[in-house]
Amino acid sequence: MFKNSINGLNELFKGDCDIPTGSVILVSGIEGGLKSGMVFNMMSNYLADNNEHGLYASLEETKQSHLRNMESLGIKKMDRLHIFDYKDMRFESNNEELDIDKITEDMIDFYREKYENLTVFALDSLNAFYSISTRENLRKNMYHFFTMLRDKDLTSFLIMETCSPEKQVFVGSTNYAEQPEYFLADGIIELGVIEAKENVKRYIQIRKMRTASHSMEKHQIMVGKDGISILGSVY
Amino acid sequence: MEIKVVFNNEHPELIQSSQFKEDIVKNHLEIIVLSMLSDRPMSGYNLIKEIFARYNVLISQGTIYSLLYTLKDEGILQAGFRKKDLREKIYSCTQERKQGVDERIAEYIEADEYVLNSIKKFGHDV
Repeated sequence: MFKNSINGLNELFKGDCDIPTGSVILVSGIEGGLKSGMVFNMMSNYLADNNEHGLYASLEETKQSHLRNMESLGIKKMDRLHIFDYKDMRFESNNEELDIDKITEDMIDFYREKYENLTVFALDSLNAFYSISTRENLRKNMYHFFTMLRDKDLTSFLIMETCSPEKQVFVGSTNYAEQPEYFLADGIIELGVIEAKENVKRYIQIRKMRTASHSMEKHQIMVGKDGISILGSVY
Repeated sequence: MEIKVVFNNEHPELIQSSQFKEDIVKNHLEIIVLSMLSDRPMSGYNLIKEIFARYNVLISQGTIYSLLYTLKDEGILQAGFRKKDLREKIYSCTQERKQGVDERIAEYIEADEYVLNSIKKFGHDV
């Protein structure tokens, strides 16, 4: 059960509802919203309770740097959570074109063959995935990538950084119709910050979760010595 | 009789043999990579180039780097950099596991020779 992987996450779901296994979940939000930490913490704790394997694919950070960050958040890595970082490949191939979606599928296939019960996958981040790809219209053709993940029965978390409202003025439209990930995903979890007069609060909100009944409220996130936990409603 | 293996696609009639070769390389990639790294330390990128040069089979970067990372996690391989070149990570067998790797390679060769010889016995010499 994913909803038991983070202290307080179960409060966001109603009844027996949970993140459906085999679904593709978009984890979006502004920089510093704890997207990577939340996903890594969920995966690690989920795998600690289930005899399964997970794969965390990092396009932005090296494995060592990512683990250092997670450690600073009090998040421990489970042995069955494997990390693949693309840094060596990107450096060594120099300026050669990288067929990033094919490479990612081959990587998943390798780990699935090696560990029969690979059930959870994360990609950090979709923004980097798009920026590396040399293929035109990759973003518009993401249907195939999402289908591939579903066909492999992986519960997948795709991390995507969005612009803060202040930055949107400079980068232009945030029309959902131009962002295929939003309607292709089975679920959308948003992480962000709310700035009040005297303090800043981090929050989590489930904006969409197909087949699961859930709260739409924003809940506060806290980081403690044992990782991330979710508190009550922000307001 | 000596077994001849064609490692190029100059002869269209040997396309079947080429498919077999690709399957063999992909199904025994770990032992092939370990034998190459036993010979000399290499990066993931150079392994792909070397496998292509030897067998005319192109292995995906997603497969090679995943294999190298898992073998490193299992303590079979170690990674390092050549002097003054921090862009290329070079993999080699760890001292502790080198003997085990050599034994696996020898076992593989022995099993492979046994199978090939048994096929030849039935009159299917190449």
